[in-house]
Amino acid sequence: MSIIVNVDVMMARRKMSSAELAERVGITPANLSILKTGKAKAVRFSTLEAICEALKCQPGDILEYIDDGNAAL
Amino acid sequence: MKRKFNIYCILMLVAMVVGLTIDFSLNAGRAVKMFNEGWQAAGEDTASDAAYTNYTIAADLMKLDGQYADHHVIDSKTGKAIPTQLATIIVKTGQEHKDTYALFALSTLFSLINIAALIALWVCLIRIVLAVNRGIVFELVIEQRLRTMGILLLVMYASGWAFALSYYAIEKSIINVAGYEVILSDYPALMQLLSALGLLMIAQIFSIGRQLKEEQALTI
Repeated sequence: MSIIVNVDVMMARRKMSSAELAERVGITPANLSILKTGKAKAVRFSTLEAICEALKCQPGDILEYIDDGNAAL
Repeated sequence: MKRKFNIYCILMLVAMVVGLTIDFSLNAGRAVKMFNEGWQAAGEDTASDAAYTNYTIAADLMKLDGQYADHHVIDSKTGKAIPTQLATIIVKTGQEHKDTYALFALSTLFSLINIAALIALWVCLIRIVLAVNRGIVFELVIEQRLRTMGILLLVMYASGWAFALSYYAIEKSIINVAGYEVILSDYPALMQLLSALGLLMIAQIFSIGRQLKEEQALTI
């Protein structure tokens, strides 16, 4: 997967649990887990907006692009 | 949605039953006659030195020179003789035809393959109908069954042709009518091949639908 969703880092900074974040975003804990583990195929803008609002961050803070040929620094 | 699907399934079943009924009512007499003759031939005494087998063969004919008047029938309205030509004959021959035994065996084998494929096709279809009624639609199992049905129809088409060709070879070796040529008949219709390819296409569409569904399920 080339796009990584680094929700864990922001959750730790905001001291928020997965269950709390899932509730605030309006998705199930299972879907949040899919997002965190990189198994998601796509993310809706509405979901991204809700995550950024809950974690008080920018999309760039939680989305990272990794070129499959090179490791991320 | 399932109700419409089930209605179409019922209509298909009704169409099949009606078609079979019409076919049977038109051809049953001839089929029963040939069956009885075959049954009787199987019980007849055989010569001590050679196998003696009665064959009842139905063959389509084509007039070689295109002219009528080899045969006549009487028009019951006018009382006049009407020139006719043969199109199909059913003959019973008591000649020894050992050279056709292998062809008969082959044609029987192809016929059995055809019947087995038809039964498997119906099993697949029934399982698809039951699965759809359980809510299993764009799943791998449905895609695989549709693909299997397409392949089975292809097998039926191929075995149908093989049967027709082997039976034609038997007819040619047994029947020789002056002024006529035995022609190939009872081969599978092109529609059967098109249906097979159509089913394979539909299986591919279901594959795309399944992938879209999986993507949708993993869209957060």
